[in-house]
Amino acid sequence: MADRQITYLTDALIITCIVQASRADTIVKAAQNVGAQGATVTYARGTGVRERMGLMGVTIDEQKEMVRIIVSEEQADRVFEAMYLAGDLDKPGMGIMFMNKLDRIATYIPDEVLAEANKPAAKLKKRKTATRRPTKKAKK
Amino acid sequence: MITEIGAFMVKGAGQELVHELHDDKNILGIFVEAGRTEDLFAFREFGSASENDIVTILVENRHATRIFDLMCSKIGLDKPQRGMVFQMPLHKQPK
Repeated sequence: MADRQITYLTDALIITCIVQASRADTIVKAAQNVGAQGATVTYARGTGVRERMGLMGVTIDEQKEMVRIIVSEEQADRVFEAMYLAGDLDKPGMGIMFMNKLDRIATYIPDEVLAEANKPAAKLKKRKTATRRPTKKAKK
Repeated sequence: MITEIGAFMVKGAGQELVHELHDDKNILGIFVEAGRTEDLFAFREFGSASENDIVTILVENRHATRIFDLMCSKIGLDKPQRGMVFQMPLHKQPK
């Protein structure tokens, strides 16, 4: 690894969502619709709420799916909300989700992307940003 | 302080990594899960998804960079479609 270098990325978060089995795909699709690149899904077994809910606890599946998505800080809230709504997490027994800030990430970054990112700020074209005018308050 | 280092990698690479890091005294815990992913790898085994391993390593902060770089090297992140390594702090410490 002497002549190879690692580029650390920062300002990212990992969203973890634990839901009942077979619901992960809907949630991943919702996350992708609002800009997430993709997701990693694993199977898990849950306990706890199952004993306290449902008809003798049988209506809550103990088989779970765990969705992990890494997102940038600016898109984190948007993706989180989309996943929450797609998973119906506002209903009892549907699951839980949480978000953790990451210290750093490393992955393959193409050379041209790295070169673009390392350009001095002055040479970069100014980005057009959408501005929103403050709305006038209705007079009584 | 303890930190968590996680990695998404191709199926099978997780077990190899566990085997290699097995004797490292600075690693407090290492776990492997099997899952599926949609965006990390070019090959698709099941529709739009492919199988992958998720490795989680618990390590003290002072060894984190060494382990992080070692994982990057083992996975081969200088090539595309190999996976991803990430690090996050653990605030609640075991007694």
